Amino acid sequence: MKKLKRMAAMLMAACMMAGMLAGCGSDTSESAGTQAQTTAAAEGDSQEAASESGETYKIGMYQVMSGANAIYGEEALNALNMAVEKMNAEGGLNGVPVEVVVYDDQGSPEEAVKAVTKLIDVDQVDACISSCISSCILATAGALNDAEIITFGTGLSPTYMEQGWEYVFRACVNSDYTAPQTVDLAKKLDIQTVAIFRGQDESAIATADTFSEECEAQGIQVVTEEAYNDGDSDFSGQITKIMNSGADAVFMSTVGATYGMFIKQLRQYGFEGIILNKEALPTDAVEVAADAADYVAFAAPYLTYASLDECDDESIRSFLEEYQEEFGALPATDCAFRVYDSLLVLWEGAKRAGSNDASAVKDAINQISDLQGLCGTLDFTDGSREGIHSFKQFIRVNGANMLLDDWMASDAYQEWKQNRNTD
Amino acid sequence: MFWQLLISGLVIGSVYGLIALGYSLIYKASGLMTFAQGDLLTLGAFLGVTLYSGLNLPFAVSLVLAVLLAFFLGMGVEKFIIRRLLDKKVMAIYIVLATIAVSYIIQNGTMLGFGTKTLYFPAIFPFKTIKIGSISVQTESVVCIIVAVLCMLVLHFFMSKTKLGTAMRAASMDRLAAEARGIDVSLTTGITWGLAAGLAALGGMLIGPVFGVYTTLGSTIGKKGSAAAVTGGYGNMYGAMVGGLLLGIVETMVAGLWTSELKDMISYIILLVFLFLKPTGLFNERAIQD
Repeated sequence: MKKLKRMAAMLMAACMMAGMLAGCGSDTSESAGTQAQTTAAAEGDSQEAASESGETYKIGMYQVMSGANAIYGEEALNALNMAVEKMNAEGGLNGVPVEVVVYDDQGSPEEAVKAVTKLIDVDQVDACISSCISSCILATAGALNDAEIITFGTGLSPTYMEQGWEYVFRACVNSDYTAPQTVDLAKKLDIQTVAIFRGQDESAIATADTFSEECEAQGIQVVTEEAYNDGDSDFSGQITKIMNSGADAVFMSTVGATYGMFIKQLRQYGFEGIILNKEALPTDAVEVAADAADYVAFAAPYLTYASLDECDDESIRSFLEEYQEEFGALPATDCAFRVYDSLLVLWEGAKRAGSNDASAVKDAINQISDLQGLCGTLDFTDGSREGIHSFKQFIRVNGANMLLDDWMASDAYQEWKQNRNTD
Repeated sequence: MFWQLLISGLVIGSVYGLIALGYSLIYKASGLMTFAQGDLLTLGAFLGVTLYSGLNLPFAVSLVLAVLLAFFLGMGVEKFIIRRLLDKKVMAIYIVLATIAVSYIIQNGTMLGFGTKTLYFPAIFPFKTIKIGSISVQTESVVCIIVAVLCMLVLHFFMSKTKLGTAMRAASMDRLAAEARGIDVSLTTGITWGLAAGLAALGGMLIGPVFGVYTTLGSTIGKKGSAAAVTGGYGNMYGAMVGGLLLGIVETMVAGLWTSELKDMISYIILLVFLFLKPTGLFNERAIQD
């Protein structure tokens, strides 16, 4: 018994230290080990062709497939399979059937490094879709670039695209690009002071920093900046501080399940101002927050939808119909859009290059200026390797997302303004 | 601001306390440690949301069913995993590892069974918040405090005043002697694990409407509940609750008055210092001395 208890005490101390370290880090999950899922997405004739010649074009992907943010990885994988199915149905990439290799990075840079090493050395992939967790991309995209593998980041942080990796592209949002739009949105709504609530991962910090700098440049005062640890579910300490700061608005730089919980708790504490977000709110977060999600505003190229009826964008609607038919539900996050657009760019690049040679595809992607993706027009011609340059400003009112300008032109805005002035 | 933080600390602290009660119960009754309580809370929340929201059962019925299911799961874990390992006379560390394995199985199992989306758990009560002075608190949070305190009192009474509780303690002290006195040690230990799992499920049902339900809902809460049990005095029911409340208040105060970025680090340093100064916990439980 004595031995047992001594061991238990030691274990407890080890767990407490682990908890402390986890609190300082940015790991997002605690799920099982890296897991490989190799999907031979080639079907029908293409598959036969592949088996005859043995040549395939391998697209690797590492995503957070387990833990708190697993939904991002699951939806990314669905979109990847959808796109690859289409590619193969149309003869593959320049006639070569496409095969998919996927690993779970658990949202952890360490796991991502292992996955990428395998993708490069064992699977010898030709192209790669990187994680939606920016810190995972930052830890791995350099190796993919050195191996001259066309890579698409699906995380929103500016940092990994600032490394000068010429084989690394992005067909989703750069939070550095949306921050000025979000601040502009705040200016339009006459917001004078703002509080920041952010996570402690690389992307959350970088996004909050850019937003803060932009606020300063635009004359909006950042009155407090509060952080949370991964896995936290109670934010009362941070919210009390935010409420006491007297901020007109709160900017969220978070991810996953935190959105819904934070918005709900913030409103419960009586915050009635505008909540600014770094991206479109996932639909499951909206469901958790319910009517507390009203007056969440953000700049983004696209929205997420709880039902097809809400979607009035033709290309997104067509994608969502196919997605729903194949997987039985609509994607809750925009990660499926990010991956799908990335593959559209890869496909277009290969078509334009006329070959699957990485260098030729890379050069061809840099020439794309008018590709229509789910996000609108993708343009890579400015040399930044970023595809999205234009965004829309949205606000959620009465349970529906709408364009900010439309809302501001409506009677509902006048009513909201009047109420705010009365308060 | 102080009162707001204090009430918020009490609310989250009561959740930690509820989980800590499970740890203490298992330790008190079987001398074993588990690390699956947090994930059992998650499972309880998933079962609850499925019964309440998915099958539209009344909340009380959903609660009873979820707690019962968790109870039998806990008993199953004891009977088919813990007991078998104990019968093989493995080192105690393997029991702990087995519970860590159970925790990962539950975490990944809930992902497979219930999906990766955060699920909305509808409010239990028609009135969303309760006003305490100028402070608004979600009704479910207040209920959580009340239920946690009630559980603490009932468990303390159960363990110290009832025959079954006494049998459980006897079984943990000396299995052979307990069996000689006619106590079914296997059954009493199984009931203990079942009760602890039921407590965790109860916690999950109560915090589901506050935080939503997702696969890692209980992971951090489980770790903090464990720390709370140690702080209070491992194996002491009052200690578990007071330890939970203390941890909740400390971390909320640190976040609200000092730094949110380092709140966990500072809270755990305080607890670590506490362990050195008072290794038997607040309630002087002699757990780690005998």
